Amino acid sequence: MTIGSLLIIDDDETDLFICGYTIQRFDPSIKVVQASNGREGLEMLQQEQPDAIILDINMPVMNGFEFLETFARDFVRPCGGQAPLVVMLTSSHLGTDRNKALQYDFVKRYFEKPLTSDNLKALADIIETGRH
Amino acid sequence: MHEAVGGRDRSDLVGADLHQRSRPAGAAPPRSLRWHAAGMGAAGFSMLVGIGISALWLLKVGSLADALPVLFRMQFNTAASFVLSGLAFAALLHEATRTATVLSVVVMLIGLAFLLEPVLFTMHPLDRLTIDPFRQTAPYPGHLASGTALSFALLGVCILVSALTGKPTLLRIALAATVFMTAAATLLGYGLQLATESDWPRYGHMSPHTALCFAALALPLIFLRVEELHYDASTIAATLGAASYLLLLLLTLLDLQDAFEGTSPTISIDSDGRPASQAILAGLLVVSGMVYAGLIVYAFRKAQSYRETALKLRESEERLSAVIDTAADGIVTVDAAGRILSTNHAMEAIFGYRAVEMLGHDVRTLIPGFLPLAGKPEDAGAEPGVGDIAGRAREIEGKRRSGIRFPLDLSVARIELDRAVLYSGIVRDISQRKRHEQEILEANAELEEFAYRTSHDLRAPIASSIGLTTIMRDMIGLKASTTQITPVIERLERGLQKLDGLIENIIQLKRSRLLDEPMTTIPLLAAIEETIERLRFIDPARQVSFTVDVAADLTLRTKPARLRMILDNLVSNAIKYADPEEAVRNVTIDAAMTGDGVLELRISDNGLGLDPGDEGSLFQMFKRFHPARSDGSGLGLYIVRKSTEHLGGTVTYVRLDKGSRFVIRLPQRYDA
Repeated sequence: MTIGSLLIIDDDETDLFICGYTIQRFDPSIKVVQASNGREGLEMLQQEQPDAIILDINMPVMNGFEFLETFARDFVRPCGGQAPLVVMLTSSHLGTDRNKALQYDFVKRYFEKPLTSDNLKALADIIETGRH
Repeated sequence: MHEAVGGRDRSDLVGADLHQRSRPAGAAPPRSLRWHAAGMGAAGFSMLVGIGISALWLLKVGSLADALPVLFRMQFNTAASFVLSGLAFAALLHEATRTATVLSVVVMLIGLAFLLEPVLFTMHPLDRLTIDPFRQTAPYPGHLASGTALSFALLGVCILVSALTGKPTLLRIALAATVFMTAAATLLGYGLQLATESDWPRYGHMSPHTALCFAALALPLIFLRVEELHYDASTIAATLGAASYLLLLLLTLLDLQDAFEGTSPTISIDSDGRPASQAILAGLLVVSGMVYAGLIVYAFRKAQSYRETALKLRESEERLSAVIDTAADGIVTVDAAGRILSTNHAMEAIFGYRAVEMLGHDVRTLIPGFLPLAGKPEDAGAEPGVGDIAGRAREIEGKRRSGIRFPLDLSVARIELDRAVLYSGIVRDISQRKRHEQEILEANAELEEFAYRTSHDLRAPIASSIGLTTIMRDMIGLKASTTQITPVIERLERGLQKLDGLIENIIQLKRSRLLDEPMTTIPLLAAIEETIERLRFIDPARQVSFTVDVAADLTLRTKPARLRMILDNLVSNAIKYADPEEAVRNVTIDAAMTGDGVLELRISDNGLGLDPGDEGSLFQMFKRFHPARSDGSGLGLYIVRKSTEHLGGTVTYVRLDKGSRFVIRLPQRYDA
């Protein structure tokens, strides 16, 4: 279990609470950083270097897709493999949203809310594979 | 028929024949072809007669001369001239221009020579130049009678003119008509002579078969290709008949006058001692009477049938114009150049011009794309019936009198008349249909957005609830204390309340779409105060002070449920998005009637306001601008906009130095 830190971007305070609790129960050593929309998430990334980003889609100010676009341009391209990977966590189960998100190489999984420990296990495996 | 046609002419005529066949109505051969054949027949006939009579003269058939002296009334020189004339005409018809020219000049010269001979020579040397007549059948044997000589001269000029110009001319027709009239008058005279059994001395110089030959030759020369000059053949024929008759009448009268005055040297007295002309005149009178009576009957019948036809035509036109004028579609006819020939009422309604203003003007000022083929009419006519643009409706643009362009459906049909090509257009104004299509597309897009957002926003709180219950079960398993579990239960409650609020909003929206309530007059102040009282304590943590500045007697004619939706959402927004840092949180509501009959309702606050740049999406569905402050559905202002628009009004946002102002304008003349 080798997740060092995670950035969670979600506008819903309850969802942030659920994520925080689930991660805490999964591995208390994981450092969790939270942002309530895409723009805040990008600001956080200036200081933090999480292993992965858990991203919602429907948010005010800057939504998940807008975040992905900026993130791809400003972080993934300049940093290459060093940039954190992204998993989607959303209540939207529409195929179009899923496909739109997964067309980015760095978006690894598309989870539906609520976050479970199984989701986190899969995320840990992906991070593990990426390191080797 | 083709034997009568030859050389270059044949190919032309074959082409013409094919062209004719391609037209559905042309069963009879073209008129020019018929007259061409008739011309060949006439040429052959005159040559045959000429050769026959010449032969009789040369062979000196005495027995025949005794039995049928009339045959020899045609002199040898006349007969020879007919052979030449026939040849000249045949050459003309075969387009052997040079031969025709030479022969016609010869014929003309012969005619002139015999005309002038009595003046120039006393001995008549020409008469016996070619033959010594064995019988005395005329005062001057061998001599061409003056009428005959004149006719030959005219005929010669006629053929010469035709050969030189190569096309029908007025001169040719006039000369040929003169020849024909002379011949016809002579023949008529002979006919009357037979009927009255009297001699026909004065005009008898021209024998019947001479007259017949002249008539035969002259007729095709009058009518051949006459349609190229746009003369009506039947009118010419009628004129010819009448002129011949009048000529005969004139000659008879002159003869009669001579007889009475006794000046005529050639007056003949029949056995009863009366001048022969008298009998002719009597015959003419009878014939005239018969013709006159026939004409009266004919004219009467004609007038009757004309009246009936005119009546039927008028009825048919009235029926047709009634149909056209009551048609919902615009119907217009234009000529090949695009000038408007007729329009109907619908055209006036569509374009805003009166019919008289449109007539004669270019249809392209109304419909620029009316005739895509107008620039090259020969292309359009290349395949009649095949390249037709009839029936296929095109969607193009029209221009109203006001200058406004609008979409229309146009179908144009090509109408081929005898002498012109017309186009008829059926115009359908589809601007309303287009507008509805656009509205449906917009409504559809909005509905799709709505479905997308609700599927997300309805599921989100449920997903959270599932997550929270999982956490609670986990906590219970861990034997967590009540103080630890209580906040989670509160979260669960809030989530479910949010879901409830969203569903309430959706129901409201749905109702605002379907709700069909009548207009009622309500006091505005009471409605506002009722709303404030209802909402004042929705959030005890956010106390807001309200100032209402509305005249107590101001009434509003509106739909109450919709007005309440507007007021509810704006007032609850003002409470929800009040600024907690302000010492006094104010909301001011004022309303007044403007001069142009619009009620202006303004709700102003000193709350959180809106970030610059967010105004564009303020009234769209599922937009939330202060997610941290409130659990709104993002539908509130969308409902406000939809409701206001339903009432025919508008809602606008005004940024204040501190806070926001929403301005609702509701027209009071609105009727729904």
